[in-house]
Amino acid sequence: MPRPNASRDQIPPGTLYMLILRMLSRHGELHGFEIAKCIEQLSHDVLQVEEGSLYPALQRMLIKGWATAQWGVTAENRRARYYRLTAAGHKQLEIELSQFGRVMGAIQSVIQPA
Amino acid sequence: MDLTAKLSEFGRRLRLLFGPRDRFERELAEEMRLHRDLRVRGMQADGLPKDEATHAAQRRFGNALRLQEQVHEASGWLWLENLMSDARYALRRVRKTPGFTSIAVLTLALGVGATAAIFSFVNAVLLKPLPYPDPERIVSVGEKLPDGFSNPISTLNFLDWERQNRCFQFLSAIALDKVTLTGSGRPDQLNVHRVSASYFKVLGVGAMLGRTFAASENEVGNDREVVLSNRIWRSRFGGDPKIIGRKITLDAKNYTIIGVLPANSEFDRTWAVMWLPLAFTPANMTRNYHWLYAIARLEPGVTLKQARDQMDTIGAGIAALYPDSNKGIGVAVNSYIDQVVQPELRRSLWVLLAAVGAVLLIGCANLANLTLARGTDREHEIAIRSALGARRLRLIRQLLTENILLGILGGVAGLALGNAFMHGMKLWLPPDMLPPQANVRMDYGVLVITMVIGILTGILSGLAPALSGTRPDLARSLKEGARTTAGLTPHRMRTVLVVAEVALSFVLLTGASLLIRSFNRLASLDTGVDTTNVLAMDLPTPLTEFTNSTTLTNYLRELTEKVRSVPGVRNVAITDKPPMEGFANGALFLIEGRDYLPYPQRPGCGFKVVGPSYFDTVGTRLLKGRSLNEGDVADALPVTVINETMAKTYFKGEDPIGKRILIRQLVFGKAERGPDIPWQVVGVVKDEKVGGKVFSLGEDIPVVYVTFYQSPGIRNSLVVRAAMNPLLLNGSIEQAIWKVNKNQAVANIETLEEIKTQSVAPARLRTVLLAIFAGIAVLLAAVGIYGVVSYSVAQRVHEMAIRLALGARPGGLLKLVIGKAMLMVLVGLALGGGAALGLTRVLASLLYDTSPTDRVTWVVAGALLAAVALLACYIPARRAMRVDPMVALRHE
Repeated sequence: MPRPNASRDQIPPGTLYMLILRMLSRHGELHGFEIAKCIEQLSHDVLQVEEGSLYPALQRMLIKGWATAQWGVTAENRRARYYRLTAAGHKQLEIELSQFGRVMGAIQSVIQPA
Repeated sequence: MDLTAKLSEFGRRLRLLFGPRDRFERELAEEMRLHRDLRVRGMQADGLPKDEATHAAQRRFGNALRLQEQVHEASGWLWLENLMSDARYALRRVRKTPGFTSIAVLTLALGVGATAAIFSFVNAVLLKPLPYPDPERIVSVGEKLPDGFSNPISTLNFLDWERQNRCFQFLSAIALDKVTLTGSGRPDQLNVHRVSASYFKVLGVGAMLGRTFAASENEVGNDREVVLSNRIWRSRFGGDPKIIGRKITLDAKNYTIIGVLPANSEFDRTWAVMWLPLAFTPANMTRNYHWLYAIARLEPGVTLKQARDQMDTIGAGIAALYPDSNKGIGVAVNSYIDQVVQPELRRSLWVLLAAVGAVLLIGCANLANLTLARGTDREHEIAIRSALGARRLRLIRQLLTENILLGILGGVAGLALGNAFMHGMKLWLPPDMLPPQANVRMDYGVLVITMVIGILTGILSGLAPALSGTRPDLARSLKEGARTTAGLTPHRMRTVLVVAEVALSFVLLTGASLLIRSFNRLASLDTGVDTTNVLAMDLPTPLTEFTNSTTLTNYLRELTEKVRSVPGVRNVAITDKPPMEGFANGALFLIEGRDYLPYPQRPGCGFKVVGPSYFDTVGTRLLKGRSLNEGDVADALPVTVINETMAKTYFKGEDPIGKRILIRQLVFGKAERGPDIPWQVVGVVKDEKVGGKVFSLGEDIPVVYVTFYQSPGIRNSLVVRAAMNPLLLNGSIEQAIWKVNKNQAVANIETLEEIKTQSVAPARLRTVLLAIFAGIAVLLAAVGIYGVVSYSVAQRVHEMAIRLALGARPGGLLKLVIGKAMLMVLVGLALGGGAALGLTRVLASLLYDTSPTDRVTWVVAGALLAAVALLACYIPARRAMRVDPMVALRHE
């Protein structure tokens, strides 16, 4: 069933890197569509990754040295660019996760009913 | 993030910047295609028909090109790429409009160049500290007269200061002297400074070769040593590296060369070319002969105020002990820089810098005007760009890039021009106008500031056009043929710019006119001497050769007669200073029979020692009584001829003839004054202008003249009146002198005309420079007015045609256009007048016999500017008259 557009939620600003990093660390090597797909599936289609943010984000991660890209071939025999984390990428993921955890915990304790 | 990570990130960015762009785009496109195809597949799997899925994926994907750009932007080089494309575009436009470009660059180059040249002087004279270590600790020290003026120091006072002070690390006396160098070729008179051994320690300067003075060399017997300036070492001694230890003969005594000072330093540019030790002889040990100057280095941690307080106490102590010579005399301690850079020079330079800055601003306004006019042409282009989504800031940046490019071009051209201006001005500069410490050159500071000024000027002149040009009414601009009322805002802005130009140039013009008027009065003032065909030269007669005053006066008489016999010589006379070169001596006097005054409280006058034929030779008119004559010799009654100012000031309503003036004797061969001599006044002459370094040419100073028989001294000059161009007699006069004494040096041969020109040279220089700047300013303002009027005429052709068609007369149209333009000029004049009223006041101290509010000057300047402005409107306004209604309206 096609989903109505209204159910597509924005990814909170600043967390896209963390999500991409997490996907890559879990699966080792993914191309752009796979990254988007994984995020969508794992979030039960709540988080939708816009192409307009995904590819610029990947480009920035390449520049920052968190990931490397390598051309490979998909199962259907099409050329695709596969992304893989570097050591700096793993470290960055840890930083982002702990930061996110801290912020989430803080927010939760603020909004918890007394 | 650590540095290596940052560096490698930068490396990756660089690779993206310089890597092949097409491959990057191809790969990205392939990546996107896969993404989209897989998305379609996914939607089909969800049950969507193929074409619907394709559309949905497409919609979701959006503009693929935009996405590509976004990814590209992520590389962080967007700003650079924009800048590059702006610069490429700017370069293209600059090349495509050579007319505009050359006018713009030339305007900028002129303004920037003139600014750079003047700034190089300001930088060297006013901004750079003195070229010594801790220059703020160097002070000048002198005697302070009751009226606050500084005076040379007597030997005993100096020695007391030296002994008693605890505030100076080093204190050095300086005496100006001239010595005759003999033994190698023709005898040469050289300027020297006799200085205390600590002189170079005060300045903190060492010798380049050899050494400077040691403390013991201040004593008589040890003082036969000399330090050379680098210049004379090269010019007179061939730059011999083994010169240290060589003996030379100065004033018939042997001296040993012990050091050579650094090259291209202030010692190469100063008055003296050699430094000799200053050893005080018993004859020097007096308190009433004021001949020394002094500089000192403050002890570390001692402030100027503390030094002044301490020296005040010391001065008061000396005055209490020796009231006859020192009553009311204190000690003046001032920053050395204030002595090096005289207030007149300081003020002149700031005025010139302000003037040149105003010229730059006017040029800038003109360029802005030009850019505005071009902006109208470009309105269409800008409108299309913004319709295509260019943001305003981006457009402004694009327009400014062009101006920055022009600014860089103008800055570079301005540097070249400025360098040429600076060298030209240095050649033209009268000697001694700048302090020797000032090393005028285009150093890095000047270079950087010039480029910054160039670029800022470029931006400034582009800012207004860029702001107004990027705010077009899109719909209107895009409509074909929209015009007539177009560009109302730019037009108003252009008017404002022209008003500002007129105002600024009026300020400059009044300033320049005031200086011109003042200079004309100065140059045409009656000097009291007839300067045509008179030659002056120095004849130093050192004490070492003339130990006895009778020998000297006989020698001088013989010389005079020998020169008088040279064919072509009309008259000749000895004097201790040629006209307009100041005095050799001043004197404090008392008129016999009037109230007694202790010595330091007596009024002062110039004391000129001359030969009896002096007044006839220089052409000074006798007003009353008799002149000096050959009978006024050593054992005759001491007589004096006084000048008109002396008679008017001190013998008001009395006949001075027969009165006696008491002046202390100048003891021959000693730095000492003897008892009062009653000089009987026998005549009054017309004022001869004194000039020189201390007095301006315009000042009237009381002077007494006595014969060299009755007050012989060792400083002598010769003035010669010739029947023809006196410079032609130069050689035969020298030959006649050397027939009497082959070791007689003859120095500083100049005509009185030259001396007069030199004495007004600083005033001439600043006048000419300011006049040039004002001229450029007026010219630029005229160009600005011309531009605005032609623009408005061009804009109103249609309106004019209708007016003509309805029966208006061409003359009426002319009046209409000119009237509007002249209103703008009048507003500018009024504003400029207000500003000038305030600003020309700073000129007051530079003006001779001219008030800053001199009415004639103001009226002439205003009329001149208005006339130029009228011409600048009239030429383009005529075009309005020539409009042919048929032609103009047929275009509809």
